[in-house]
Amino acid sequence: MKTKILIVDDLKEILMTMSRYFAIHGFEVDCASEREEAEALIGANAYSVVITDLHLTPVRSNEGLEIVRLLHHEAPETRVIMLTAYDNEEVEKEADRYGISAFLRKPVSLPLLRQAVQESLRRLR
Amino acid sequence: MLTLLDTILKPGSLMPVFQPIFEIHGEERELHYLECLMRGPKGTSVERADILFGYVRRKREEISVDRACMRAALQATSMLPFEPNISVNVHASTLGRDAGFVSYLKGLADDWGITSNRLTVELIEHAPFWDVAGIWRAIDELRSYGMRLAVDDVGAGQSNYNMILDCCPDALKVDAYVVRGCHADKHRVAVLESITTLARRFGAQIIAEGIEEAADLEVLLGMGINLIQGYMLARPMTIQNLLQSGLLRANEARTMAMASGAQIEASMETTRS
Repeated sequence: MKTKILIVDDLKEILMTMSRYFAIHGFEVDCASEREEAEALIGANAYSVVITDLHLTPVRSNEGLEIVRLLHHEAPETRVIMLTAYDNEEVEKEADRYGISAFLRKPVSLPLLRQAVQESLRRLR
Repeated sequence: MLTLLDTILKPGSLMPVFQPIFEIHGEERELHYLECLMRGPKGTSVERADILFGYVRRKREEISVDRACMRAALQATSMLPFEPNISVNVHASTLGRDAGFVSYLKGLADDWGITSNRLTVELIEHAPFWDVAGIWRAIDELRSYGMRLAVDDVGAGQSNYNMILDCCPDALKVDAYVVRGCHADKHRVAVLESITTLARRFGAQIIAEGIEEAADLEVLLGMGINLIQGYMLARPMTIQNLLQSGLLRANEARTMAMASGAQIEASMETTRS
């Protein structure tokens, strides 16, 4: 059975590139560009890994962290990889407290991201 | 750039499907009404109804999307021949908060040539929000138009006693969670018996949802629950599939036969007297 992952990013181009890449590498991929969309998908599916951007709106609020909190409470077995283009030590610490698998700086190479996903899956098993 | 919500609200993007509710007596099976269910825009992450409405509730956009669903549902209903009765799903919070919702629904029905006494509003709720005064006003209004009221998902989530007490519905739709597997579970049967008693005391019809097994159907019919909905009998269908199924024509033929039977009966009475 394919490993099911969710990718959350407000930039459609990034979503498309990432989903195509992971689909080619044998993953079953869902995409969301808004926090509420991601939460609705998480409520209805069991994902092994969620890759989420920290900022999902131009105002730079930390919606990605809300998703991490939701997963921590409702799907603690799901691994989370967070992406951000900005340094934010506070957020990084908080995300760590919720047990995320990796915090990666954008731009991130796709092979590196896949390696992070596979690493988190190994820890899951 | 269009947001997902914009896409959902765009005219023509919500996809209505219809699932029949049958009245069953022995071998006889008649269409009771069609429930109009909604699917999200094709090719989006919210095609599935549970994800669509999960998203809508998180966005707190129940009112705007419920209105869009009514538009799509009634437009689709207007394309159905033989004028079957129809139910539509509405969040209880929408009915409570949107003071103009019922007149909007009535206006749509008038625009599409659908008599309002063909409509049942099925109340759904997933949040503990409850504006009783608003709900009462809306219920009075929809009943004044001849519409009927059902409480959906009875036995699950927020659809419980307070909703039934506040609404005094015309029908209780028992959630699939209670129904599925009742043939092998005396506790499920006990819950069904309790809901049946409740429905009788309220003068409400009882409809069982989610029937997938003949053994469950047998138990339900044995308990006198004969309004049945579920994949075992019919899956939700697009308008095209519904038209091809012949279901509406068969129903119309039966109704006409019954009507002419009643006329013959009446004329025999006249002759006799």
